[in-house]
Amino acid sequence: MSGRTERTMGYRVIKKILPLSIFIGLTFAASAMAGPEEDRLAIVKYYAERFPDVPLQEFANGLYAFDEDAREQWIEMEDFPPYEIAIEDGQALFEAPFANGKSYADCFANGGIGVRQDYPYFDTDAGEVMTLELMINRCRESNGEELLPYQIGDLAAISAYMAYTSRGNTINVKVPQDNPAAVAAYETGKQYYYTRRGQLNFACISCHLQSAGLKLRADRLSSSLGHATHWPVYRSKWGEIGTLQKRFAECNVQVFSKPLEAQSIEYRNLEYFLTYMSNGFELNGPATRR
Amino acid sequence: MKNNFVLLIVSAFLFAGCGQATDTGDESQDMATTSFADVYAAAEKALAEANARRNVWSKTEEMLSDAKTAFDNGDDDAAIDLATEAKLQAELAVTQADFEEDAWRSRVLAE
Amino acid sequence: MRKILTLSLLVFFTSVQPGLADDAPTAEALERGKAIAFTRAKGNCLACHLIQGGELAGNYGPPLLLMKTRFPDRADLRAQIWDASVREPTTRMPPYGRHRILTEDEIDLLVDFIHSL
Repeated sequence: MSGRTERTMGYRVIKKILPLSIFIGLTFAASAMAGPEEDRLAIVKYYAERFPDVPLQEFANGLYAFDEDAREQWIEMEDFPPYEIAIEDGQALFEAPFANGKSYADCFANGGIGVRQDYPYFDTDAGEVMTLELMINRCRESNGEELLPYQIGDLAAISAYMAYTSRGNTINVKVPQDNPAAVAAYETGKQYYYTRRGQLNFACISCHLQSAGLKLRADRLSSSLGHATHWPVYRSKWGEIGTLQKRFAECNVQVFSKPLEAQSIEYRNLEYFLTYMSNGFELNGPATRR
Repeated sequence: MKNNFVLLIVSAFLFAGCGQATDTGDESQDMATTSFADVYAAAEKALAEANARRNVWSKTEEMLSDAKTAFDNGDDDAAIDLATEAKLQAELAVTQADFEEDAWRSRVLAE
Repeated sequence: MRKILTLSLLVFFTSVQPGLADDAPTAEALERGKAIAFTRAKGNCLACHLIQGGELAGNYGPPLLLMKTRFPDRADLRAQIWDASVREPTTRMPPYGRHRILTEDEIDLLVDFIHSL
C-alpha cells in the first residue's frame, strides 16, 4: 500500500477510457424491464449527450471531469494524497481484534478485502438497505463494541481502507426485481433524489444533473453519474476524510434544509439509488476533492 | 354604459391590487391581542408536522428556540414575531412536501 | 367612455407612483440592495449570476445585465425574484418571497439594485 503505483491508482483509473458501449451494452438485455436499469441508462445517456467530449469513466472524478485548472491541482495533490493517513489508520483499526478476539474480517465476505463494489445491498431478512458504513457498525455491535459516529473519524478511516482494497473493482449494486421491498427502497431513494426540499427549493438534480459542470460561486458542480465511486473523500473544505452521507447532510444544509440522521432510512435508500446509477464504474476511492 | 361600468370595476381592482402590493402584511395589530403561548403552540405543531414529513427548513427550529428565549427575557413582541415566522416557515415546508409528493415524477429522466 | 378610461388610468398611475418608484432609488438604497445581492446569508445572487462589481460569480443562472431591457416593468422583475416558478415552473431559482428567504422590504431593496444593472 505504500507503492507509488498503487497510491496513484486513482489517477491512473481516470486515464482509462471505457467506451460508452460497455456501459450500455452490459445491461442491454435488462433494459426491457422497467426500473433501475432504465433509470441508469437514461442518466448515462443524458451526460454522454451533454458532455460529448468527456470520456464516460471521467465522470467518476466529479468536477475534475470538466475543470482543467482544478484538475491540474488535483492531480498534483495525488502525489501526496491527504487521505493516505486515513488509509493507514483504517487498516490498523480494521486489523485490530475486538475484545472478544474476533475482527471486522469475520463480518464480511472475503475477509472484508475488496468488497466495496457490492455495497449498498438490500438485506432481505432485515428488510432494509445495508451500506458499508452501517455494516461496519453492525459488526461492532454484534461483537459487543461501541458504535462509531458515521460521518468522520475512525469509521470513515476503516471505510477508506476498505475502499482502497476495492480500487479498480466494478460497482455492481443489485436491486432484485423479484423482491418488492428492495424495489420499494430503490424507488424511495429515487424519489428523494428528484424531490425539491429546503427553503431554497432544490433537488439533488437541480445542481448535479441539470447544472453539472456549471459554477456556484467558484465551485464547479459535479455530475451524479459516478458520484458513488470514490468515497470516503478527503475534502479540503472539511480538512478531513468524510463519508458519502456526510456529504448528503452538507448538501441538505446548503439548500437550507435540516439534514437527516446519518444512516437514516432515507439516506440509505438515496445511497442505494445513487450507487446503482454508478454501476459499471470502477471504484477509485478514497479520493480528494475541493 | 355597461362598458364604462366594467372599466370602473377593473380600475378599482387595479387600484386595490396596488394598495396590497405595497402592504407588507403588518400583523402588529393582531399581535397585540395574540398571546405568545398560542403562537408558540401553533408553531410547534407545524414544526412537528414538517419533521414528520422529513422536510424541516434550516432556520425554523433555531427561530422557535430564539422565540422562547426572547419570551423568557420579557421581549414579547420579538418572541411573537419569531414564533410567527417559525410557524409560517414550518407550514411552507409542509406545503412544499405536499406539492413534491407528485411533482418529483415530472422531473425523472426518461430515455 | 374615453374620459373614464383616462380617469381610471390616471388614478391608477398616480396611486402607484409613490409606492413603486419614489423617483429613482437613492444611492444609499442601492448600496443596501447590493449588499443583499452579494451577501451569502441573504440573496447570494452572486452564487449563480454574474453581476458587475461582484467577485467569484457563478454561472448557474444568466448574467444580470440590461435588466431594464429585460424587465421594462419593475413589477415583473420583483415577481420573478419573489417566485420565478410562476413564469417558469421548472426554474431552479429559489422563491425568495414565497419561501420567505428575504423579507418584503429586503426584496424591494434588492429589486431596486438589480433593476439598476
